Amino acid sequence: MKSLLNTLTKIIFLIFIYHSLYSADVNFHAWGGSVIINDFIKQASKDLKKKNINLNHTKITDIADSIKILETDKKINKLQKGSIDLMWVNGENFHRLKKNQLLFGPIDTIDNYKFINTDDQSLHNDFGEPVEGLEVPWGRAQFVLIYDSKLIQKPPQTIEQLRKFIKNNPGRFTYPQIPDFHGTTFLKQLLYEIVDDQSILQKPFSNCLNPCEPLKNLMIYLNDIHPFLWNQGKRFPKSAAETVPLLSNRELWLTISFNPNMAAVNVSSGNLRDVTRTTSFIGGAIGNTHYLAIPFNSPNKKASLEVINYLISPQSQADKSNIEIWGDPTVLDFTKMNEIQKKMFLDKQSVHILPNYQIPYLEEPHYSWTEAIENEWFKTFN
Amino acid sequence: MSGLKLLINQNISFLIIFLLFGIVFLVIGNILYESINQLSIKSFLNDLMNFLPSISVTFFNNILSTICAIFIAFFITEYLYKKSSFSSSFLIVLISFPHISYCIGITYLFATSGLFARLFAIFYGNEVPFISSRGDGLANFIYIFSLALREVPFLVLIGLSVWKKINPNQIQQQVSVLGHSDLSTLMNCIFPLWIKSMGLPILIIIAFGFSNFEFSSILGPQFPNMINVKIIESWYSTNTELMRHLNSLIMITILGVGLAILLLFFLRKAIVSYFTNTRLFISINYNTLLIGKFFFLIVILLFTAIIFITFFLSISKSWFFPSIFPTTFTLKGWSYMIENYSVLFFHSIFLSAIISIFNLIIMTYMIEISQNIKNIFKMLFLLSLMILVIPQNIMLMGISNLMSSLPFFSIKTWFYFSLFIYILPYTYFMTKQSYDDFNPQYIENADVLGITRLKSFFYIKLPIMTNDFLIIFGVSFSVCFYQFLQGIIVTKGEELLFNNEVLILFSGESISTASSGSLLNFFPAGLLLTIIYIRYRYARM
Repeated sequence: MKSLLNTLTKIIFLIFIYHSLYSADVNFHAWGGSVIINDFIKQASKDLKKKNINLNHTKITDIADSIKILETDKKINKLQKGSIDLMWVNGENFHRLKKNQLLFGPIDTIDNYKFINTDDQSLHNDFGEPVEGLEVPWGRAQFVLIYDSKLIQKPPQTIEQLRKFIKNNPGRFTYPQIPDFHGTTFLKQLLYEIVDDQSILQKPFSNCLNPCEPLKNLMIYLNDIHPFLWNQGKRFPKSAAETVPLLSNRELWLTISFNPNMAAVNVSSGNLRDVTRTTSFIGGAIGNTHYLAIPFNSPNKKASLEVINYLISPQSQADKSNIEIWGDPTVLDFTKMNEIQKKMFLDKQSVHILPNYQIPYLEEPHYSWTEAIENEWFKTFN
Repeated sequence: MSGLKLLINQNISFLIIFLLFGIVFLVIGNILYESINQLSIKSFLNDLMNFLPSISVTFFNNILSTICAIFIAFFITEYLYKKSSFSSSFLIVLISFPHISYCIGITYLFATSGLFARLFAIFYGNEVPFISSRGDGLANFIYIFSLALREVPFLVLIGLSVWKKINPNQIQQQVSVLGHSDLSTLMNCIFPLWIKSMGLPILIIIAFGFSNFEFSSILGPQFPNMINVKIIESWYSTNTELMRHLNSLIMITILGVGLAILLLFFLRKAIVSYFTNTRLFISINYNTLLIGKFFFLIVILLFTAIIFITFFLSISKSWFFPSIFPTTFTLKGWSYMIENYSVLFFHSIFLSAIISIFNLIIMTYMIEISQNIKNIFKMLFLLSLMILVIPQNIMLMGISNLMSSLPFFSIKTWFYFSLFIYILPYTYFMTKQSYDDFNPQYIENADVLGITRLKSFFYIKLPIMTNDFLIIFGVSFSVCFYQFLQGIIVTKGEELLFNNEVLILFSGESISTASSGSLLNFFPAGLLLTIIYIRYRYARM
């Protein structure tokens, strides 16, 4: 009995030593509001256990919190043992991280990067900011309109059709309050439809003449539609998630999303009615990419790279794009995969997804436009 | 040796207080220094002018909701004192209801597709909700009404003990001889006395009004947003213009709270003077208990409706307008919460319990070993006042700044400290109340018999004050369990309480999961306070 206990103690001790030597903890800072995304990361964490990596999902409210941690670390010279190993980031946040040199890189040297569609120039620029290998694409998003097909037979597909719809159906459309990301994206989408020369949006905002005509026209358009919005434009939902129950209860008949699979995912979970459909502006829809990045002071950079490598593998990306799991469009290039890998991507065609899944892709405007649009909106309406 | 021991004992409570004072001063000094340092008078005045509509609406809404809460609480207190006796303690349970669930519940009740609209649709037959035309006027009204009713249970709880001290029955007998009506007795005599003793709870709720995020964000107006929303917006923003506003907003909020307290102080004086001298109520004979009963029923009905709605949301898969009840059910939300958050849930319970007990022990110890209780109370009052008057979001930003200056303390230490100091005022107020209520004659008699102070504490005070200590623990636990700004501002998501996770889930797509979390969140504090309530009712000393 005593020897058995001794052996057991030794085994436990060896496991402990092995675990401490060969396993690594990766602290992943990612928004924790979505149950489906949390579940996806949890599953990834289980898969990574086999590689002796403990992926801990720190469920944050906003990535800005994590950036503040990194800024403080830099200020107090904490250059080695930071508390964040991996971040889900894009847009203005990436710009802030890059500007303050808070990222480790280049990290695009990992094995599975070969599957990324490197010919797609939009993956090399994050809101107009060159990525330069400091982050790796993880998923894509594209602006869409979600509508109740029982109440709307012909959904609007241009800015003028949208204006007509809003005026004919007062109180049945709104957008999330600025500075919510979805609200700002909606305004950027409108801006694309308003400008004569779309290339101006790819340049810094300072290139727009003072007063900036496109912004002025955008505010004229908004002033025109606001009295016909939900609550007469005197109240806005705080986020896109808040519009889901409004759409399901038919307070709203039309809303916006940044995920073409959003309707399908929510119909399947019972949050939206079965008659919910997706459409988009025929002239094209803003799309962007969200990325994974490693902070400068992550103590587990090697393991973090392995996690990124796993998260952009065909297997993980196929799971991620499955509407039964997350429904987030992939960043991988099908032409670079073999047949088995291609097969892993399920047939996602669903009536709730945009027919043919072919929306002309418009690049995110340069990040400086976000602030300009927000400030103009505050000045006009707040 | 014994002299040294006595000296240490006497001074140890002062040492603890000075230590706490030191840290709180450092925190407040730090945030003030940082804000003033980065702010020019010109930009501050410019921001002040720009934010004037926000400041006005924040000021107006919080002052009005505090005044409404005071009057409603007064009438309910009278009703409960005269009619329901100690069943009033049930209101303690309502104190533990999470703010976020309360606000979401209010939204689901009053929305155009909410419960009331659905009940109306049964008769009217509309399949599609009416067009929502809720403007800021209605939003302000809902904010004032909801915040006032949310604060009522807390005010009634404190108000009842004040009421008992006033001895209103004796006042009524004396005043009725002079020909005053019941209403006149209540408004001319009892109300001025009652409100004079309610300074501290009023201070607590006004400070909460200025620092809360849930009410102003979910229920408050949007054009303009209230100041508390603007602060959090600036805190998170990457927009340089919004970030620049943060320092001005901090200064404006601190000045705003100070001004609101001053205003309430003068208002209270004016109200006391008016109600003492007015002859308006002398001849009016009206059953005041009806008003109290009416408000009491409203509070109970509102909370019950919200609890039911949250429960149905937590088990509904689909619940579309105009159905009164969910059409399909699921327990996925509950299983998700249990599967993923059990550890954090129990960790938060454990942490809140430990911090509350620690707070209570420290407070009791300081009072017991001190020769001069009055001085200890005065200093604790000052400390609590400082913690309460500086809005929580700003105080925590100060702690966050201090963290980067003192990096040798871990995030955990700061997290526990920031939880500890926010329970301290509540523990202090309630402990003081209990010690004030305690008859010192018992201890004096024990002293005469030569019984040591330690013995008389364990054999006399503790048995007599057990119920009080339990209530203090229950309230402190519930305050600690429902903190969430610490997880955002101090630890930036690295250390969290269960309440934070529930709040994050409300920003996602699954309302049923968030609602399950919300009910789970209510469970520990609700259960604890229910047990205390039952004990209070049947085992009152």
